[in-house]
Amino acid sequence: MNKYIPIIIVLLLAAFMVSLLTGPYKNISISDIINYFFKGSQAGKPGIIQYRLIRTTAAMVLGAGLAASGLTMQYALRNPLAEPFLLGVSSGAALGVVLVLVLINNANPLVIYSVAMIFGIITFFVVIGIGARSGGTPTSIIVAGVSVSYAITGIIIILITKYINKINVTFMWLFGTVAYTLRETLLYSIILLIIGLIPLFVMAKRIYTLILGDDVSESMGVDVNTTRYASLILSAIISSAMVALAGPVGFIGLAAPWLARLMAGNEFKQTLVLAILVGILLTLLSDIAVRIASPSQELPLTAFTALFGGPLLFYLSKKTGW
Amino acid sequence: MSNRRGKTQIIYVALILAILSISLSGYMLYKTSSELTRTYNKLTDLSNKLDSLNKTQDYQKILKSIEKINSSLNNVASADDLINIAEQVNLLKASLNESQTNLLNQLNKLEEKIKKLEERILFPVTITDGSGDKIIIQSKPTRIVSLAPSVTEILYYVNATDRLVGVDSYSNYPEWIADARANGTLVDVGGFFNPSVEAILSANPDLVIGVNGVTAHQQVKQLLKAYGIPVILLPQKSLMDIKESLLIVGSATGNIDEAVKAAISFESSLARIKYAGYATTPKVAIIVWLNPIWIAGNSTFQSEAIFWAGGVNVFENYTGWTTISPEELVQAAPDIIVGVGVNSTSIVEFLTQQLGDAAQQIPAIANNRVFCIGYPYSDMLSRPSPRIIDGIVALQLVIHPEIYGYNYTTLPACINSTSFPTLPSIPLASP
Repeated sequence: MNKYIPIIIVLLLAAFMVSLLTGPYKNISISDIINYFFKGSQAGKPGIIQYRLIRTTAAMVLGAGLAASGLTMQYALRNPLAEPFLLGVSSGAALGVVLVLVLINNANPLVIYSVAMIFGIITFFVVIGIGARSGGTPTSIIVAGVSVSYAITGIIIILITKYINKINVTFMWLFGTVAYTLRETLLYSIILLIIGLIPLFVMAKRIYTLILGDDVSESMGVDVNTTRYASLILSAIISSAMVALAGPVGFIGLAAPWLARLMAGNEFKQTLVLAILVGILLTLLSDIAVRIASPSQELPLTAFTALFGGPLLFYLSKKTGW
Repeated sequence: MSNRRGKTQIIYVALILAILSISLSGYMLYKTSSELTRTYNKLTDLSNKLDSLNKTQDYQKILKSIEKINSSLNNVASADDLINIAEQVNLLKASLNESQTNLLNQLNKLEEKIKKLEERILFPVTITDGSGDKIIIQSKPTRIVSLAPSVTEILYYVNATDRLVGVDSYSNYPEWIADARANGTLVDVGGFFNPSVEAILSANPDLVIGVNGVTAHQQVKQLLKAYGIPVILLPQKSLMDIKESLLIVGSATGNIDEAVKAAISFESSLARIKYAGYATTPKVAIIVWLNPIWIAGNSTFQSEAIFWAGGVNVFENYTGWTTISPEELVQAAPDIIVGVGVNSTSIVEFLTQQLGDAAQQIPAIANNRVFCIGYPYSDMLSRPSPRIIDGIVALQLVIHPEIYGYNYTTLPACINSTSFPTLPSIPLASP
């Protein structure tokens, strides 16, 4: 086991506790939290703890999913700048959400969740299709992803500007938040995360070989194309679920894998575990920061993931080469 | 000698007679006066007896009325019955004098009973809110959270702001709300588009009211279902939605009486504004933001406000609040431009800068008819609450200054608290 894991787990537990203690309502103490876990929820203080617990869990699931998806993308595409939303998942999901808000009045949040997932996955397959047509190499896939994302973003901008009355979601959903997480969407996201993670661990060895270069992996007996596409699909399932859960949250999918590789080297399974742990920690810290910075008016999560992630990435890029 | 003795005897007799007669008259006087006093006393007695007889009859009458009311309270069929009974009790109370404290106490007890019955009759109630959902309010809410300034104002007009425990960050009417939020008496639950669920929960509400069409409020509604807190979303598209909101909130809070009164008052104020028909209906454009230019199209209450204030919305064929390019403004050629919360000088500068000479093709700019409506009237014209009446009056002042004794040159460029600390009163329609 990697030597960093115990430290990170300790930090995680601390962050978890802090997250349960942070919020505009000041009178929650540690004993209240312990009582909650033993006596269950009723109205009043336990209600607030329950809300914070759901929010904290959502942040942790988000961090885990983004990190896993990002790391997988970086290995499958052999590109250090790959991140969960590179292949159009988040812009596709955003387009779906915007369309729902324009066409349906008072859409049920569960409908929004499903549409986000479906549009995210469909866009991913469109990108993969275009990428495969133009060569099937990592580069062509990435180019397809970037161009499709930009095109969709253009459509989204037009829709939002024209229908701003209906889509007063403005910046909250578009930059990610866990503040309005429903139990149902959290549950679905956890299930999808597990569905995506298990195969990733099973295929770990094969995914690891992908970074050695296509010809090297071929010579090791790995079917490069299948492994690449399979891992990308798994990554897309996870990232679609994350986008549907909390909207597009940036930087975690980039910074957590980098930190993990710094700590664990390049072996996929170990790095995946570490990336997930680091992702959870970073997202938790960002959500805590959101609540401290703006107790009564909610801020989008990307505000702080970018604030923390940007300089972190810069620092990391100096410390490690790819 | 007998002469003198005769005289003295006569004098003595006379004296005795005099004394006797005086005593007699005195005695008679005395008797008469005591008789008088006795008669007087008898009369007073009698009149007192009559009085108390009257009082007892009053007392008995009132007691009988109280008993009748008490028994009718057992057969109350509807809220209207209750309102009638409450009025009867009020009248009886007014007819009492100070000494009848016993009766007063009984009437007070009746009023308490009426209040309790009110709550039992009025709740549980099923509300259809602005999003079409049916929400069941089990009992009279006593801890209300408002998610928007317009909601707070509607609560004010149905007289339920005493039950507020949390408001959004921007509610500022009535004035005490902002102070209460600042010193912590009311919990600050966040912005219009980004409320904090935890802040709402910490206020421990039994009713939350938001606005239909705002995604964050819909999300809050779903979330709070898990905590058993009902969330009502008020309609906010048209002026009639304001009346609808008053009735919804009145029903939800149990203040039906006040809500109906407020709704009637709102409708009649609206009718009064329409004046006697306007001689002209100038083409008006409402601008709510510059760069890009945001205007009010149809399906907004600001567009309806233009109609009531005697103008025609030059952007009738645009839907909602939307952006336009400066050229579209030239094409639309409004006679009057009104900046709601936007400075009129800024509008003219912006348009001249964007269009150059073409700006003069806009009649409003060529004829110097660009005005602005500022605080607090801009707030009033921007929120779907009964205060919009004053906002419409401010708009009417700009579109038809002649009604109020101004013309386009004497009218101040900006209608705000400096130029108009109070709005002129609506003149009665000419016969």
